[in-house]
Amino acid sequence: MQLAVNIVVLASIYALIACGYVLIYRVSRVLNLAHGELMMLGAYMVLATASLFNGHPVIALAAAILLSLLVGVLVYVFLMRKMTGEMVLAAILTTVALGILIRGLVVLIWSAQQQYPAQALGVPNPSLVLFGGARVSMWSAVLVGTTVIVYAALFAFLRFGRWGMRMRAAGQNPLLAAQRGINLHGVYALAWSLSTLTGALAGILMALDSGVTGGMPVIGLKAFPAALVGGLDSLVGALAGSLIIAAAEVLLIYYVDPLLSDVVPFLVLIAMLIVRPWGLFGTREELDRV
Amino acid sequence: MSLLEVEKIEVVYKRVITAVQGVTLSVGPKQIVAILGTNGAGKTTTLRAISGFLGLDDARITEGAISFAGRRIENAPPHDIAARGIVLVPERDKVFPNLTVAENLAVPVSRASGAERRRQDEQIYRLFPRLAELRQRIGGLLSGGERQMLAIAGALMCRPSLLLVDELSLGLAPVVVQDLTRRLLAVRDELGIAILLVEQSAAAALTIADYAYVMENGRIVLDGDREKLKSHQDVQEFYLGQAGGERRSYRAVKQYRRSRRWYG
Amino acid sequence: MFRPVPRASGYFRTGYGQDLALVQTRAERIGLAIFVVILAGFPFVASPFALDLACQVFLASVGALSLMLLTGYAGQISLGHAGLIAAGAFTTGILAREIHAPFWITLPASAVTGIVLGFVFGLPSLRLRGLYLAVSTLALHFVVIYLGGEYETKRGFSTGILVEPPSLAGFKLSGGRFWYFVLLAAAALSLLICINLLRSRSGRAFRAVHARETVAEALGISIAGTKLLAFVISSAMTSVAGCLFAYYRGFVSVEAFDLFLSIQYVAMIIIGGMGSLLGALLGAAFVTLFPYAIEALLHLLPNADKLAGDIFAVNYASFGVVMILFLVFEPLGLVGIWHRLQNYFLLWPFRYRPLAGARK
Repeated sequence: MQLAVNIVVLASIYALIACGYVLIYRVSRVLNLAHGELMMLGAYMVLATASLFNGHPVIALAAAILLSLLVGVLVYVFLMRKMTGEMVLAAILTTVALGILIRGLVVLIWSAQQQYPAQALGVPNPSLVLFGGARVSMWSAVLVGTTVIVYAALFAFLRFGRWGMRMRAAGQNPLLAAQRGINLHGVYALAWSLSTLTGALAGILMALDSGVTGGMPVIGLKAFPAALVGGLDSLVGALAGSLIIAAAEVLLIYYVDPLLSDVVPFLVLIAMLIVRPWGLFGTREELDRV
Repeated sequence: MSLLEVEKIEVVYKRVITAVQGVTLSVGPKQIVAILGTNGAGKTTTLRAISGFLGLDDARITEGAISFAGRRIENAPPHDIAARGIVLVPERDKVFPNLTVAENLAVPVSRASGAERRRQDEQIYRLFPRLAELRQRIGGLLSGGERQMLAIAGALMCRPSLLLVDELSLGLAPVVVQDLTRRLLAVRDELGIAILLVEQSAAAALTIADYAYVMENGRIVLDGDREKLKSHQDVQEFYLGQAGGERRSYRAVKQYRRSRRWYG
Repeated sequence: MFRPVPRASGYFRTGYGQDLALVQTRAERIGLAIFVVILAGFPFVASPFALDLACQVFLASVGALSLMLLTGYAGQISLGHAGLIAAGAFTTGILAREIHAPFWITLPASAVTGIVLGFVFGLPSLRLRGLYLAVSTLALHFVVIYLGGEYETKRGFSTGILVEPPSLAGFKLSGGRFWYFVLLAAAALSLLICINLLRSRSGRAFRAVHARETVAEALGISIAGTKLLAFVISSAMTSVAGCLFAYYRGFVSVEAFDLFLSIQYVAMIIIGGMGSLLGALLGAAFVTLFPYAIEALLHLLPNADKLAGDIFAVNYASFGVVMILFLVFEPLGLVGIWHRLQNYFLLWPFRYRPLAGARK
């Protein structure tokens, strides 16, 4: 039973991170490999806002989340906007470089030690007991709930919202979208800000649960196969992929070898690339966009 | 007072290749104007220059001016030009393939909202009743003619005052082309939009165009209203396929002799 | 302006011998000779620190050249380069520790590991391209690292494997100058291999497959064979670089071969300039010397001690910035800058080369 709970929690973490990859890829065909670092940045920002709004944890959290939205927009406007229209590989490498830059900056500003936003905010993290004797920490449970809400909201927005439809349109045929009056830069900036928002939510909730350190982006990188296995432009796929990979990881760690934890997502990824490169639910596009 | 004035524009690709030279044309309000010519004549380049999409191919308007409703628009960004009321129906990739027909028509941006937008929806569905039946069909699964209808309808949702249509008849059966040209006429009559049509099929274009220009090698060699062009000897021979008298080999007509006839 | 140094211009070769020669004009030959003399004399006048830097640059060049071959010429994106270096290093370390193998066994063994891994890394390229290929190489990199980590823990080398310096007939081969010449030879050999490979039929096949696969196939080039060949040759070279790395450092551990190392190699070929061997060399030099330059720069700043403790972070951040700057402003890399400089002087007062057959 504990295993099942662990799987659900891990799957929620991966899913919340993976939807960030999917959002940006679906709308602008760019793979944002800085997502893990942006997620970490969100978590660190809680530390900053915690000291700013001492004694008001809700305001501090809200401020950190809003700041992340802003960071997403800024990253697009000042960096990625210059790379639209360039080779996709160049854009991806730019995100990698951005990630490296953020890693360095984070250590310079906040130091490399493990820190605990929950303590900084003064919020507790009790362990809840579920049926079957399984335990889960409160913030992990909040994370699972957040993932559900975020996915529901994103589904509704992309499917029924007018700007959600426009984002999908821009992803399919950017030229035509521009010709129909859709401001591509606006749509891309929106995608980046939403992606950074969901990433920051994941980062903040994880940090509240178990602290924040410079090693956080690794989880972001592990969530990336979840997005790919499900299909890089499919939200449903991200959910499915996260479940599969989380299940594989938890079970293999428990029954086989704990060291496997970091490599399992990539093993599943390799298997998927062999069998069905475009993922479970992805659109089968030409696979040669470089 | 004409709606669109193109004055002596010159379009250069990659700084060295001149694709269009000294082209002057104008489109009046509610007028249907056609640009005829064979492949490589520069028709699509002219259309791209008007709608602002040259930057993608490393091309620029190096001379001349384009004015729309009195404002200069050459080298303006594409969404700006779309906002002013010039919308393009492109030759390829003209619909969103993974969206339904209804979504395709909901996506274009126009200043209308709410009730006004719904009224527009109904008007478009009246002009293209086939689309009303196909509301939930995915765009990529439409037939050629239906796709062209959806492309035009999508463009109309932006409430343009000038519609640019690139190669309406490409890849479509003549019956379908006939139907589409009739609908374009209805669009002009009901919505009061001016239409600039780029066409390889002169026959199709000349059924609805009020005025037409013929382009060759980047220049305009002939222009006139529908009757003048239909009865012009060279248009008949080279664009309408009606050779008078015995069949002459193309080699028999040298370029310089032809140009004398164009300018005569 | 000024009389430019005569270099080969136009095609004046009249025999196959001339066609194969690497340098054409007498001025080029003299230049090359001077360069060789400088390289040979360097270790005798330089400090040990500078010697170490040069060695690192040479070592990096081998890896950069192999990656340039794979990504710059054959167009197969690989983000798993560090995994291949690790494979070579671990082969050397494992063989040296387990069976005390001498270097003339570990070196070829590393090459063999490289060949085998080249097949493995190259198989996805038969089905995937672009982004998905890059992702598959990334995944394989992590698998290799995992295997290395497994070995370390299972055999008790949790901090890493110590590798003895290579010995020949009882003499321990080590020392700054020795390694300088060995690594210089390795880099020069790699460069020669690359140059000749690219001038050969296989090299042309690489370029063809990179440009347009369908056309290459129509011309009778085996796509699968070419891609696998590119991967195998590149991986073999990289593994050998890993072997040299193991001996030079004397120490092999998984942490040294993280994703950042892969990114550094990709940065080398991008900053250097894709599609150019000179770019690989320039990029290797730039990225290798960069952290030292940053450190030197740091000491010039007033509040240096505060930042000196976080030297890694400063390196990371500045590396990220430089990489972004190159990607956004100079996608053609250092070679691009060099060519622009050349063109400015050679073409002055014109600004652009004329296009053949431009219309009037």
